[in-house]
Amino acid sequence: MNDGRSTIDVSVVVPVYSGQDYLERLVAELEAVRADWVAQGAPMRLSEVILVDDSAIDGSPALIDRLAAMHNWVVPLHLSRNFGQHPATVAGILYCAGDWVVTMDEDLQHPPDKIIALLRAAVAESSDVVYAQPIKGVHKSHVRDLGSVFIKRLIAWLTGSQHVRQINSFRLIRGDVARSVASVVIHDTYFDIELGFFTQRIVGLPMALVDERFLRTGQSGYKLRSLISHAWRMIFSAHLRVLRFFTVAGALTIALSAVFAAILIIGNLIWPTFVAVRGWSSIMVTTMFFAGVNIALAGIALQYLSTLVLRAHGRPTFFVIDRSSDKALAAFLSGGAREGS
Amino acid sequence: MKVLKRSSASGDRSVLLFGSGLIGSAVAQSLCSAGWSDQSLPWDWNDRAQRDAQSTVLSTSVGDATRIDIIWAAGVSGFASSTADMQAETMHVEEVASMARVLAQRSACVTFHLFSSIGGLHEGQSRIGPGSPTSARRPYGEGKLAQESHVLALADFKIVPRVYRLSSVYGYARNGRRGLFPAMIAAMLRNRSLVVFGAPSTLRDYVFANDIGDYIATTLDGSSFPSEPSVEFLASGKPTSLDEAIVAVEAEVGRRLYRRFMSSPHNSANITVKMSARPREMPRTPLAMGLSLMHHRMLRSFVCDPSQTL
Repeated sequence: MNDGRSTIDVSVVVPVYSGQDYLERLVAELEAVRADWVAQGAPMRLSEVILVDDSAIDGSPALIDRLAAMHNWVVPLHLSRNFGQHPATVAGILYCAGDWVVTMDEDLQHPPDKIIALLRAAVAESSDVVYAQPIKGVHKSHVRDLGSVFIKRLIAWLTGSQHVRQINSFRLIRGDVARSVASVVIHDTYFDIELGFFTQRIVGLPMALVDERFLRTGQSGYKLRSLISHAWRMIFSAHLRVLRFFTVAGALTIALSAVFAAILIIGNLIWPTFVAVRGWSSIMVTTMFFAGVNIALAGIALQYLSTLVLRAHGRPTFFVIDRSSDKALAAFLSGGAREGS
Repeated sequence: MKVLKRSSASGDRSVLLFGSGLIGSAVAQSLCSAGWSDQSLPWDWNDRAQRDAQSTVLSTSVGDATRIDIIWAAGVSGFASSTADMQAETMHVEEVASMARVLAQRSACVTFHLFSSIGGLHEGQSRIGPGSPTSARRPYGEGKLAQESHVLALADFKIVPRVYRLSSVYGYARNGRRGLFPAMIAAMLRNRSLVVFGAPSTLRDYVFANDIGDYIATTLDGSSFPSEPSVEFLASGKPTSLDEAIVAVEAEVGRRLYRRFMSSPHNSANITVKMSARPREMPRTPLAMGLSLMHHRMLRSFVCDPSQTL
């Protein structure tokens, strides 16, 4: 909530796991953005950069402390163990106070000078979430990039959440939405699925993104295991459309068994030799009927369970939002604010 | 009020603690845990003549202490306090400050600790720290600023003033005002609705009362005598929205909070504190743990004393 203040605060959250080779450059680039906004007389300021040390495996923790000692706008946050990129991002969001929150990776694949473009996209369409959307494959590896696209499309179809296709860890989120989602999200909930519970004003902004670390070392911050874990968590966070399929399938099976039973009874009455083997068809119809009942009941039980799970995952009944501070931002950004520094 | 004493190789120490509410009781508890002995003495807040007499008794009880710490934690005002309320409270601060001046003539080392308010002095500011300008927007803030000025002026009388600006303190004490979190828990236990002043997204900095008590005890335990006046920010450094706080309280109690938000520009401005502004030595209890401790203390209090009401 901006409270009518003239300055709009932007917080940046960076989960760090193995970023010692990148953090100094990242902070320097963010400092340049900060200075550029001040020089342009922008109504927004980059007020804080929260570096979340997710029990990093290299020299990042000490480097984070050193950077925080050098810059009073850098906030160090050390997690007690390695919780993973998502929980680390959630922790950072819960420690920030910005009107807008930017989340980005540690390895410079997300250029800080594009933050202003994300802000412009947000206020241009009164959006609450803007995802950076890579124009081409980030990894320049067809298997890696197509795999990612396929998984996202599959999950979008399974869950009915179309914004899943846009998901990227370089995102801009309205501060109130980000903190509310972060406060209800649990370990097994996918943060971006939860975002869809709070707002539908989610857009993607195409931009050129390159995973430099992957190109240079052949290694990505995301290992195969963590990608599977992401996909799994995404499916478990959402309301699956297939659950309804069980109920419908059960009901259809019952109906089908009733039709077969009717055919058998009528056929037997008209033509006594209609069924050659006595007892077999009635057993099949009875089995089919009760199988249908079981499937339908399981479907209903799963739907009930799904309601409870969604509640546990923090799906709100409603959420009130304040977009009043967008006007000042829109006025500045539509006036030809420079993108880079 | 309480007098707490401890003897050490460097001489006798005395603490005069004014206030037995949330912060006063947390400070007393931390000091007792650290080995200080405590004694309660009467202090009549309503009768000036009585207080003059009680002040003499207090001075005597301090004896020949080589170091005296006076802690003012008796503020009863809140954001809605009027100018008259604040003037009355400031008058009490001045009285105790006068007593400190008398004691300073007897003892070489006198320190005056004053609890002030971040919310009152920096209302509507984000990422508050030592360089943040004060901006009192209402009588409460103006009164707190006046109290700080009185206490900081004690430096001219060989007294070391230490001012602690507090963010939103939570915890449970039998005496004093009930804060937001005990009110939430009470409403949940009684299945009643609660009016919450602010918006769901309003950011505050919640600090656990015991962390403040422990920090003061650690400060008093320090062998070196502070020589410079200081203004410190006692906060958690973590912004927390009302929404997040409610989720945490609901998770702790295991019930839903039926609430109605009463939001206006006067009560929904964000007030957050920089993490680097808080003293390094100050303990930091996570909100969930603090709420759990507070909840169990509340329940224990009702079990031990049925006369206590939710």
